[in-house]
Amino acid sequence: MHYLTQAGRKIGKNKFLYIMLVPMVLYYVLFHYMPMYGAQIAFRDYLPSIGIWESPWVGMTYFKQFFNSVYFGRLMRNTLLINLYDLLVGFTFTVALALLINEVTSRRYKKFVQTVLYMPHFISVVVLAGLVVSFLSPSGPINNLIRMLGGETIRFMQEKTWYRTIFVFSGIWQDAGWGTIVYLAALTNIDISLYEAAIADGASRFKRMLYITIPCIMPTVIVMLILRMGNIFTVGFEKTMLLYNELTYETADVIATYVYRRGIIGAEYSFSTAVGLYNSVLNLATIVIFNAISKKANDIGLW
Amino acid sequence: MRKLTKGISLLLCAAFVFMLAACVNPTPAPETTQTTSAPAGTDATEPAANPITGLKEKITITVLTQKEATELEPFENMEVFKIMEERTNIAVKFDQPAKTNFAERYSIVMASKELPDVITVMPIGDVPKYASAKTIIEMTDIIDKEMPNLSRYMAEFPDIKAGIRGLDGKIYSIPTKVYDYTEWNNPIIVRGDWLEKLKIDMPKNIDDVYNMWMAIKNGDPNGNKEKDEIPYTARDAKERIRSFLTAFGVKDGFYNDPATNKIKFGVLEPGYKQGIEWLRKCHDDGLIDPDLPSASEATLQAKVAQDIAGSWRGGMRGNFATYQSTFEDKIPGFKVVGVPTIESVNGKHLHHARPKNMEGTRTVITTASKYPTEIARWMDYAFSDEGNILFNFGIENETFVMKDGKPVFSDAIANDPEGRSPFIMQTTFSPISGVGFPCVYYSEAVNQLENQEVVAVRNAMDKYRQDTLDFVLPDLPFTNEDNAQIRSIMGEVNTYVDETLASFIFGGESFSKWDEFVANVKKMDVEKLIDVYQKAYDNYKK
Amino acid sequence: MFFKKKSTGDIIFETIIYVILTAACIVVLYPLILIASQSFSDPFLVMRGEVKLLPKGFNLKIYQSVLQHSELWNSYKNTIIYTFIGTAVSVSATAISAYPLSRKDMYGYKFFNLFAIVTMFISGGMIPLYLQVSNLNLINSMWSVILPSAISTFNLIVMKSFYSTSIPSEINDAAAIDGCNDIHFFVKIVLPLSSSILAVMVLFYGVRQWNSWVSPLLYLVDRKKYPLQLILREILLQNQVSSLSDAALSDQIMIGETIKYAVMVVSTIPILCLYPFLQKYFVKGVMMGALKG
Repeated sequence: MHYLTQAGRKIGKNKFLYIMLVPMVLYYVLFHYMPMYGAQIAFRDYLPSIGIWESPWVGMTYFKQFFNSVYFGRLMRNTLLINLYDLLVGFTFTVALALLINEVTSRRYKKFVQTVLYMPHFISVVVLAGLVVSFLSPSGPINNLIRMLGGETIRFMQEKTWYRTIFVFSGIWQDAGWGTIVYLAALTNIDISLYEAAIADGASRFKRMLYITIPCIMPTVIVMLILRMGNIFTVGFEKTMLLYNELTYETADVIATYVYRRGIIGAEYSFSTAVGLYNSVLNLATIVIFNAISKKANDIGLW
Repeated sequence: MRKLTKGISLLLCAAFVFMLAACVNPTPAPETTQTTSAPAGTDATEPAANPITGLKEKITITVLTQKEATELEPFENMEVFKIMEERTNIAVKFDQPAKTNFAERYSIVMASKELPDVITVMPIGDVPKYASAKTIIEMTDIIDKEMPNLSRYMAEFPDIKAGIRGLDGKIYSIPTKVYDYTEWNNPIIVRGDWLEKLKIDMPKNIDDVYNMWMAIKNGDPNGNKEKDEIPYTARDAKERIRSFLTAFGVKDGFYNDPATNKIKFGVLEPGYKQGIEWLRKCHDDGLIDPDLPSASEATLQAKVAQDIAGSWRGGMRGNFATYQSTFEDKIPGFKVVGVPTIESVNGKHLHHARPKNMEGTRTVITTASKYPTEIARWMDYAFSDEGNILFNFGIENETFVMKDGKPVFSDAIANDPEGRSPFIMQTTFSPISGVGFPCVYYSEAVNQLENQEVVAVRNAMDKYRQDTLDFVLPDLPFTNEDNAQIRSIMGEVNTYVDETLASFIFGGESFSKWDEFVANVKKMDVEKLIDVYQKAYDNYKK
Repeated sequence: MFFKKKSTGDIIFETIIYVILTAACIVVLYPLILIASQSFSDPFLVMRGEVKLLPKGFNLKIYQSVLQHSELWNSYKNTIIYTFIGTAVSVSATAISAYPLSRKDMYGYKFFNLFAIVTMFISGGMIPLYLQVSNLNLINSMWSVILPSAISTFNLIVMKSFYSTSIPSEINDAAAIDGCNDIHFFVKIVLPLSSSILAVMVLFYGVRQWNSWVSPLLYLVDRKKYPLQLILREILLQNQVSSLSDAALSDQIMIGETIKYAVMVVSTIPILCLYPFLQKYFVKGVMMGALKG
């Protein structure tokens, strides 16, 4: 009884917050939770015209098919490695870029840099891949430079050792600028009085950045990092399709492209749903783990 | 700041209002099939039954199809369908997503329980699935009774019936597009002007091909004093080079070995190894473009445009006729010709792709349709002589005229002032050039429009048609279980084969590893599939 | 802020920054200029790879064929409407939802956050969502393009983190003592402080809506309701060689690559104009110092 009234009091105190949550709950229930029953396609032999409930139940068949694939290990490895590479290099790069932009004093130059660096985000992945292939082709500018410096032509797109670097760095070119937006917004909210105090103490700009700016945006960085972990087992299929070929399968083939190639022979709803579900569960587990670690370490987390 | 707060509050209210409005005022549900009935009792005489479909009143049916990006008009605007409506009393509502978006739309439509009457672009592998789910009707009897014109073509080209008949002997679909001539594709395409300059003849066997490539590489046919010619290039490193394996009596994938009449899988045969070794030699001698694995249609076009590509394989129109018309003004002397099928080691002339009389998707009638018989008759009209003229030539005195009793395309179509090809112009009034509607691609029309070199090589390839027909497998009908097995095994095998072959040809892998490669492929259960294919093939030949 | 004196350390620091950023801009700009130049060049020269920096054989034929596409201007209009309304709906819904989610003291804090986050991972797939949209009678309506994706959980988390880190609890307590309820507090204090994150949300949701083509593809039947990206995508992909039918291939293959670039330019110029306009909101919120104590 005591417990119920305690709970009741808490709810009463927050009643306005709950009112504010109504639109969100409505949205998620209607468009996410209600259609969620479709996830069971992974466990059935689904055919659209007979519907989900009437499609025969096959349990873990399609999951097993995927796990038993000769390439299972490789696909997992490539997906994970590409993402880790991207995290280490790309994520760091983006945060560093945000810090650098923030330090620019001239407003006009700042605006110019930001506008320029945001532009690649809008390039469609098809055009991006075309640019990459053409720049790295034997007759492209990079190889021209190499030959000018006395080196041999490198067939970048056909070398599996170059693939991950190409994939990650083209991604950085495209999205590092755009990725700074969230950090720049967070940076505007740092208390100016902190800087004033530091200047009074004679701290240089570099020191100010190190001891004030960086710690202040740490919470934002951590949140973004945890969110990024939620994608650690997913690598975009379209970009991979456009950049890989048989000679680079070894380092380039990821879960999504493998599933796609199987689907070319014939639509495989159940197989692709099963693999997708497996993928999602892994991602969810990762984000749960990292969120817990982060909360233990510095009390910052998503929930 | 206050203004911003106010703005946000307004937005919030607006958002709520909008969301409420959306739920309270739903848009009306989409229409389905409807029948328009003639006013009762006002006519003195009853309307006559339509001669083609037997309908007394006009009905509207729904058809799911797809639009090729290159078709200039969607079906609903095409004259041909308007005339069909007048002649048959059937009006059509087309659901026509773009081809690139078709897969999504197709799954949604099939899941939605509001099935259209007809689907004209169902993938072959889906037909047995939907047949056993009773989503589409069985057509064996309906074809016999109501489709005499289609039956005529089926009798003339036995491949058609064998292709649409399932393992149980029943037919559940009709072909979307039939060719009344033999459509060959993917020949070796060469710069004819370079052959003339270097004084070499068309290659007749694989050694001639090698020598031709050597001559192109060393003879500087593009005249710029640089050894920049690439004797052979293509848009990928798979079919486009494995097609040369036929010269060694084998081919990629499953095929029928004419000597023993048994199904074989290419990779496992000794001839395959010889072929790959030959390709590797050509690559090492600088005759095959080393960038093939990362090639694309765009890079192929670029190399042709740069006047360095000597030969390639590709479509008769897309990579042959189109290149001719595109580049003849830009590159002096530009002329492309096709090489007829070369002779293989066993004396036969084997091409890697089967000549076809029908296209690769199927037209089906769903069980939701109320008018299967009338629709069958309506579809049959396109296969009649009258229908042929309508679909291929269009409207008399608009898109064609009669000359000496034969239809001839009008100037508007054959000589478009904006320079568009007649095939494209056909898409303003007819679906014939795309793959969206069951009808016949009529040789009469095609020959008038086709590039003459294309016609020449096609006829040359046709001389040896039996050799290829005995060798390459047609689209075989499989059961659902077979299909599932094929998909799961071949998913693995194809990845492994593609990767390994690329490393043998382009990656410098040593051939001492070949036996290991073959053993690994066998471990992937490919031989199980050989039996599956054998069974289906034997059934097909009955 | 008014100290003009710079130590040598500062000067070196600033020079390094300017050098790095300028280099980054060049690396970013060169390919973009190339794209724009190629879109204005003679397609044959583009195909031969002869356009390296500036346009060669300047011609506007490609732009003509894109801009004269019969459905283009109508779809542009549609996109502007969808983006405006969609962004308004999304930003408001996200803002009012993010605030409660940032309140650790709320009973059910963990529950509601997980409620949103789980949906990022478990989904029923395209077909059940389509059936749901259809059951709600939204097919072929503008709302089908706006509502099913109204809230992006990612944006929601970003926004709620912003609230957690930039609204110190002292303000909260002060307001509670003053008898201010949560909604009041949100409107009068939180919102004004969040102009920068709101600007970010407008940008994120705006761009997302502008570029979206998957929902319109699935839910809009009427071609007259198609947004810009869907039409552009059709133009962009028209040179895909179909292995099935070789017959109706475009005889204008030369335009193939060049048209991609023209389409890019046409579709992104408007949204690029949006950013500088939003930039002024990326300024500090009301000074925090003033509220202390």
